[in-house]
Amino acid sequence: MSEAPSSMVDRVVLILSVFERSSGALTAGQISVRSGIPRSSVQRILQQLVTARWLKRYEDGYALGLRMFEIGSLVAHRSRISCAARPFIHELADRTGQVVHLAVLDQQDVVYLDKVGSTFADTLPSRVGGRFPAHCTAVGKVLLAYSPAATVSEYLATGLRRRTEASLATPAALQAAIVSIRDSGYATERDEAVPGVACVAAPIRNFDEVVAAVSVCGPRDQMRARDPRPLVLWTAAEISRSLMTAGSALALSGPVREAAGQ
Amino acid sequence: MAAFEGDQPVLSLHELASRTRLPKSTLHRLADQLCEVGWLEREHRGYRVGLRMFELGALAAEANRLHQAAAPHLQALAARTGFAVHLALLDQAEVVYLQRLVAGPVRVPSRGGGRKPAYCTALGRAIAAYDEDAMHALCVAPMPRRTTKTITEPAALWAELEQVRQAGLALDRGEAYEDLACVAAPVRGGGAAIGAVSVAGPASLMRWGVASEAVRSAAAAVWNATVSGPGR
Repeated sequence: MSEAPSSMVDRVVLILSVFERSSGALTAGQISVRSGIPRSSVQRILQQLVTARWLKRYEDGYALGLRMFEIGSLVAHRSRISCAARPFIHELADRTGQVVHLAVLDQQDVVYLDKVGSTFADTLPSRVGGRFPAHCTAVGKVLLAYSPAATVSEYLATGLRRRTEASLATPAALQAAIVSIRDSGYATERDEAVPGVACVAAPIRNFDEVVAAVSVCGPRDQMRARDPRPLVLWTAAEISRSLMTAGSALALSGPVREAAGQ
Repeated sequence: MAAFEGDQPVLSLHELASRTRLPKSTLHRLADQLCEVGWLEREHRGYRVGLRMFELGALAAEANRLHQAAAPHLQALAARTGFAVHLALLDQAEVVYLQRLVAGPVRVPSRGGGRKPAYCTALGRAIAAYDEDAMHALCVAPMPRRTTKTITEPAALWAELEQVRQAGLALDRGEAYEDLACVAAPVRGGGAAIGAVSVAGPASLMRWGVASEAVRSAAAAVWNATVSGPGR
């Protein structure tokens, strides 16, 4: 590496972010255009990333590599929340026969730490490591409801984009939802993320703080027939209890990037 | 980032410096930068891998295609056997766990995204048995004894791999951990295996016949889903 490490990092970050916004392999040309980095530098950095196995070279271009998966897995494995939640979310999926999500809030989105459940899971747009606008999901609404007021106003300031006809679209609607969620201790969502799908979510707490949310999602009619609310609330409470009693220092707690930008 | 692959989730600046051999001042700036983009997260005792890395990792193509195709079949296998279920691929002489599902109270020493040497795992052998280069890689890699049953001789491992190829199934009867039994089947069509599926659990509870049958059919289902599923 001949250049200063800091500018190298910037470029690597730019290049890898390109992969976040695309599916499948990308050619060096596409990466150069989308990252705004000159072709010659892109070539050289791609070479280094392939050597480090962060990227893999295919016939039709480059894609994120196995190493990336391994490093990324450290986060989920080491997050205390995922560990505490794992046995409970599998049980929840078994008992309801529906799809279970575990998610945290990061800026404008929920990020899914885990997703387990029936074959119906494949038809949902959520995936482990994926993002979704918070106000369109039950997990996101729960997380917003228990966030500090400043987080909510920041969220509202960026505008509420709808995913479906039923998505919350106005600040007043979201504020009203927050009040009722804080009242009842859980959030519901019908058709707001995906038409025909309903979802119930409850907060996972680490003492005074809500650190994640767990939800059950399924076809709307099935969710009506077998109300999963008691099980979701029970599971969230069990995960919270397990999280608090474990009390280790490996916490993934609080706003995920609280320290960023200092 | 590789510095974080050890056992410690949180590394102080000092520990990072000794692992990366970068000067502290440079490292400090780098760490700040990486925190800003979410690749690292700051903690009171140091740094750990950030959420953004998790998101990128989940997109890794190699892992992803097999992973997605396999997910429902692994769930079914876990529900059917009540044992821990793994999906792994082979990287030189090591297996990399793409997924780990634990249905019941079974405790197994593995994790998604983790690595294990292939010579003493059923998963590693199930994959390597269909590729001479991989067999060779396993047989020349170190084979430390882990239990009284571990195969530690290259010739014995080679013979075992040939048996695995004939049977279409790899067994581990307590070779990696004393009381842990494991059955693995390759995910493959006609050629080399692209991965393997296994069930693992306490040796005393393992019903070999049932487990073998279940693993075999799950691995076949995963292969079918992989070749018929959407491309990478």
